[in-house]
Amino acid sequence: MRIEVSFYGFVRDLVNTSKFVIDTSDKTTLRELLDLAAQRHGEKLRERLLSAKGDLAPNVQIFVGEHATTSLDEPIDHGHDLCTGVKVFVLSATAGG
Amino acid sequence: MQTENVQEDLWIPTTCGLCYSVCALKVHRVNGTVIKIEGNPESSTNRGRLCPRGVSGIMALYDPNRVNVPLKRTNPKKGLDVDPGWKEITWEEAIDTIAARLRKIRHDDPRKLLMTGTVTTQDEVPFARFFTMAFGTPNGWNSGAGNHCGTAEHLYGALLHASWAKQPDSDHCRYLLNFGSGVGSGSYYTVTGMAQRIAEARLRGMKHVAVDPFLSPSAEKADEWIPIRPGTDAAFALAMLHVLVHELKVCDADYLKHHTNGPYLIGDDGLYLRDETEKVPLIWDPVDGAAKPFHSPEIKDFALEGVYAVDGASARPAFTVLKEHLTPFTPEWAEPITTVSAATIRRVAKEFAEEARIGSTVVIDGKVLPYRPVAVMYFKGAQGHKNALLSCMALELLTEIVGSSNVPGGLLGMNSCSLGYPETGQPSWIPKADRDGLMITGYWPTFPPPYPPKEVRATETIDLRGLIPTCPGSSGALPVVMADPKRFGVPYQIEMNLQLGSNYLMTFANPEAVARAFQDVFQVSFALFLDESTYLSDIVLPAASYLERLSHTADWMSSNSAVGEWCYHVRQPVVDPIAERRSVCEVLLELVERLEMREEFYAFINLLLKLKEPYALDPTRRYSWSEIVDHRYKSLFGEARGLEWFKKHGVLKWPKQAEEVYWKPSSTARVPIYFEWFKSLGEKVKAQADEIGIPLDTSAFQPLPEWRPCRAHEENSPGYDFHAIYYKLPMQTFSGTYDNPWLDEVCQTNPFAYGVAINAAAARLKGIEEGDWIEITSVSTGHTIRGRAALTEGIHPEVIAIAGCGGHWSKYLPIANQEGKGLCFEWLMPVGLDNVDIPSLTQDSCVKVRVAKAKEQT
Ligand code: SF4
Repeated sequence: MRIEVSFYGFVRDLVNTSKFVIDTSDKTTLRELLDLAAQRHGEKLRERLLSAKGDLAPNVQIFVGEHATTSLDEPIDHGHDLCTGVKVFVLSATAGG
Repeated sequence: MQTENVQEDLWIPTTCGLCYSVCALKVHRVNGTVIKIEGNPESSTNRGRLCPRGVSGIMALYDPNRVNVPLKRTNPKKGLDVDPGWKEITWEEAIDTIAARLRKIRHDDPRKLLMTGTVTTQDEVPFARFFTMAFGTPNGWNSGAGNHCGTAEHLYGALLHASWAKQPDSDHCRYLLNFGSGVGSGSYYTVTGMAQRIAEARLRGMKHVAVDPFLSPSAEKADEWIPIRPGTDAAFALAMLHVLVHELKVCDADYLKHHTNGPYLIGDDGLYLRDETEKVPLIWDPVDGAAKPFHSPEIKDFALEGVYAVDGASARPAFTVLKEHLTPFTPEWAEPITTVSAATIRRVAKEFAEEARIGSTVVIDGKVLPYRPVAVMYFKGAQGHKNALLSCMALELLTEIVGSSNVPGGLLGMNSCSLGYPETGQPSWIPKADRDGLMITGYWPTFPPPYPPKEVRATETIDLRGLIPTCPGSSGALPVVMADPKRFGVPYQIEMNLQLGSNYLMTFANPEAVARAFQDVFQVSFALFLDESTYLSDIVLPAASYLERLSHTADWMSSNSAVGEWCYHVRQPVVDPIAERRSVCEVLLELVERLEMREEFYAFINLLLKLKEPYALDPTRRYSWSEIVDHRYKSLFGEARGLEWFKKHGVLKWPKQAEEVYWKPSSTARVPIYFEWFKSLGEKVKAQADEIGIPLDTSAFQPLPEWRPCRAHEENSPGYDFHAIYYKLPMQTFSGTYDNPWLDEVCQTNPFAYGVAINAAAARLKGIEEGDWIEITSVSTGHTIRGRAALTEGIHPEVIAIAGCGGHWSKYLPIANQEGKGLCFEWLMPVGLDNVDIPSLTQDSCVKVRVAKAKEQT
């Protein structure tokens, strides 16, 4: 299965291209997908996206197709149409006031 | 004007953009020229009222000193009063230069881009945030608010009220205890509407008690003014809490049991006792004599008091821990700290307790709701100190103890809960509970909300907010880190600043120190005027003012009144941009195309504006700014309520439901009266700071309030015998409006607006008389500023008070830069982490000064 992964936001210093394609199996989980991305772009990427406990960082939102997801451990094809790929948004906690 | 010469005579609905209150306007345009601005009575935000700034907007529109063409500096040397040597350039050259810089930075390290903004550009700042997010930088600073930002107050807004700001329930409140906020006068949120509502509340019998060092524009309208030493409000509040729970034995037990973490069991280590399986906090059920998970359906009652043995460990409900903690804070303890007599504190506590009417109910919209008609307000005055986190905690607990949070008569979030426009259900947000049962905001204007607690990380941003995630507002650390990022472990330096109207040199602290942090940065300013901070700019772009631009985000969470109706407005150009002025949003859209980041930018717009099909932006085509605004309105309010509808009608409103305004009784989310997670967070911050090698005092991360002295309280240098404070004026917004001739005229009629308020008796001891020039020297910065003495009995004898952000020096502001047009308070305030409340990164804003009659009296 080919999955197009797009990164948006405060991650560009680590992922100098906003998109890449991964060939992987149907049963790949988001966690495994992020592992593959970290192998490609460095451990700092994993640190940016995940907490020390391995949960999704609060400023990260991931969409599989059109569906927002918080579960890193389900297969990403789980009931979703993957034609639009996986979008990873890293939001910035810019100050208010 | 002769009527036969009139070809056009229009009243155009729009909104004021001269502060964050978003008052609705009707702008009278005749033959293409704006001749009058009035309040729009259709809007419940301001109910037809405007403040002096709103009326005077016409002068800013046609001001001959406005920036009308792009400029570039020719003098490479930068400094506070170094002439940049402005040279006019074309928009094309400006955009080419900016795009080339941005392209290089984005390729190199996008974190090197900073964006600074302010309240008069608050409709443009969110869009610019989308731009900076898509660009890939985490760095932004709302520096126009600077030290005026509510910072820690906003933190508690999130933790206790699910909202950025709060207001008393003006429909039902009977006792407003106001610690130094401008509510009901000339500042704080929804100023004009609230001034009317507070006036009406007083007519129906609400008592307004102002605790304030100065008889400020708000305090002068109160029933009672209690002068207090600056920065000691927490001591007053702690003593009131002591009287409530120890002397009067007053608390809303039902509220504490069901809506706070008051019953959660606290172990000897100061942390929650948690159950073995789910790891959720335990409470004690006194009927069954057993500890149970807080959400167990088997609970028969919640213990608030006592000591219990749970699996061999001793545990006390959080309320008991709080009550014991309050034991030493008697009014007699508070008297020498606050200078307020113990008898006064006791009397106020008693009045507050009686008016809270604990146990009473009221029927609204057919629903029986608790009736607690007391509200405690505070903002920058009480909060802007080095003890901000713990002071705000003490003040907030007054509301929580009597159960007057988000119920009729009490303190209301602005706006914690929105069920949306009836036809679409949008926008919608509702506070919810986390696993520990504590409240997470339904909506928060920046991202992410302060709770649940975030991981402490090595600081990747230039404002220290990775390391200290409890700062919700303008970080007082930014100029410190920016001046020496390596010391803080930040692996890059800011190379470029996109400045959206913020005059940060005059709104934060010592302008020299702030300028040092910014002078090596390539700065692009979108500016109305060539103010002081544009002296550090490399390119200045002529910005369209709020009367010349279109916006989709004029309204925001706290621009709607807490009660009454929901009101959404349009901000539309009432004249075409004059000369070469352009809207920031339109320029950003052009930069998006130049940088080829349309796909990312649109993805953020779709995500953050929640644009769903068919209104989501399609990255295969380019949208104009007005198309994006149209999509936003239609996505929220339906196909029939697009931009054209808003341009014509100006206002869309509908009544608020009782469960939106008074949402707490039906919410299952609890709020803390014991801030358990602050303790462990502080330990993590300390460990991380030690690892980086930054000496940080993290001792204020604690679960219960106390009063701690600020630097000013411990400063005893001979001759420095006054506390200097600043306050907001109803007729100026930070530093941005001082060149307006009408506002100047108003300020000249009021000796306090441009002068220095000083206690008459204290002044005469120094030989100072009304109108004398005086010199004020800061013990912390060594700087001296000059102003005319305005003698009054309405100020604490140890205090001088300076209004707003005057004292301009830019040669391009010919009205504001004259001597005697106010003082720049910031020269007195040092930049440095020892002047900042570490947990909230709040900049202290009071300082010890020496005051003397000036030798030069002209
Ligand atoms: S309160 Fe603010 S928004 Fe309202 S008229 Fe005054 S400056 Fe404008």
